[in-house]
Amino acid sequence: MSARPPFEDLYREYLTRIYGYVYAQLRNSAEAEDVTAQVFMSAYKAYDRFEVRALTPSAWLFRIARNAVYDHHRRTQVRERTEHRLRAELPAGFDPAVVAEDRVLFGELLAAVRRLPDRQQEVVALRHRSDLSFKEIGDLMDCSEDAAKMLYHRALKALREMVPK
Amino acid sequence: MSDEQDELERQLAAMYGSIRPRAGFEPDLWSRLEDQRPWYRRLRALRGRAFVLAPALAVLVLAGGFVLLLTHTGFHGGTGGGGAATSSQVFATPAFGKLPAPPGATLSPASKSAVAYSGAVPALPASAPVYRQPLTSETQLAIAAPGTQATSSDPVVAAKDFLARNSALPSYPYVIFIDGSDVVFSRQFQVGAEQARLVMADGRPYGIRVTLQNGQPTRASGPVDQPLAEAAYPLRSAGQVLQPPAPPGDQYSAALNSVEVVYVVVPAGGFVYYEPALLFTSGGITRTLQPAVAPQFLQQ
Repeated sequence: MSARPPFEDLYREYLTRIYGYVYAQLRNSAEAEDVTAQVFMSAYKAYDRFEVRALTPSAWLFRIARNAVYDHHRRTQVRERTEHRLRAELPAGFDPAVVAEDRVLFGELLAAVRRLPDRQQEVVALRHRSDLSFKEIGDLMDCSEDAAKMLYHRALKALREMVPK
Repeated sequence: MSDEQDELERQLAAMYGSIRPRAGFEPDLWSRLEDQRPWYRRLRALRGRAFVLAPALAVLVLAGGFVLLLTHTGFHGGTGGGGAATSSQVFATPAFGKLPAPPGATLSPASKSAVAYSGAVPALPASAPVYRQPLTSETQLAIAAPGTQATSSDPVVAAKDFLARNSALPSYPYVIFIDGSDVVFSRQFQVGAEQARLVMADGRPYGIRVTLQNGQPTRASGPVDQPLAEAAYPLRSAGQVLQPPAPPGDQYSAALNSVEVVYVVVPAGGFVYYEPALLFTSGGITRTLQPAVAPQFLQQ
């Protein structure tokens, strides 16, 4: 039986990566912090039951993170619909915090990623923020390895068209 | 894989790599996790680490004794001209903790963006302030005024008048840049004898940005002119700044001939940090930016 690493090691190694994955799918750093905290709270409680044989720590944590993001989306759906309506009435692109973040490096690229369909956003974030293989990403996203690869390459193709060279 | 796709994937990797939580998030969340743990488990973990803690405690006791000895013998050390090694002892606990590194910045000689540099070496002081501002709607200027009549055909004058009319003309020292159809008021900070302007990690100017359409100012955005929190950080020595040339075949290697001391804006978590850095260029084209803060005070 493989030895389980101390939870603290997992925490140090994956906190930034999980945060990056979560942040890329939510709108701001405060929400990303809340969800990241939930991920590690859940992982901490369940760590005694985690078996390294069944899943790598990375796949296990990203599965928890994925579920936490979905839960968050479900909880905030109603609120977001209202916010979106309000935003639509304001001049485009003038949420000050978003403007500030978007003005800073990679703003255009992140904005383009956020315009991708949800599953494409997710596969790009998993590919670049986790150390999971396409096989593991496919398992996580309930599709085959080939389907995960195709989804990823479609996302890249769409991004190339969106982001000016 | 095409070069274009390769470049896009490199940019995506750099972008995701630049997303980090705020500096205090990791210890805050860890202490919340620790609070959830039953007391007997905490004790067991502590016992398990006793072998690690014992030598550390011994070092602390010795160090404490050494400091006491120096204090009592009236030794105060040298001042001025100290390099990063000396100053890092002084700045054992910088106020903002480990700083987020600028996205894509070169941190080590092994980095792919290592470069060969053949220009003059800037004289850096042993330390310089790092500034920080919360990233909230209160600290970010957002003026939208489509249809505003330009007061001058000179975009700089029109932009200044636009800011003045909206009580947003900065009171701090700045240098003005034209960036496409935008006029940017880039804040300047003193670093030793140099005035360092504020840039983004790609070298483009950062500051209050007025966008003009057909010569008419339509909007302004950027950091509000407010006092900034600041904390002194030790800087790299000139020798540490100039890394060896890139390994042969490195696609990002370049011969650079000019360097400028700047402040780079680094967003992380709920803050925007302004950190001293060196902007290396070749023929006026930005090639790489390197943090000037000593590496041990940067998050890797």
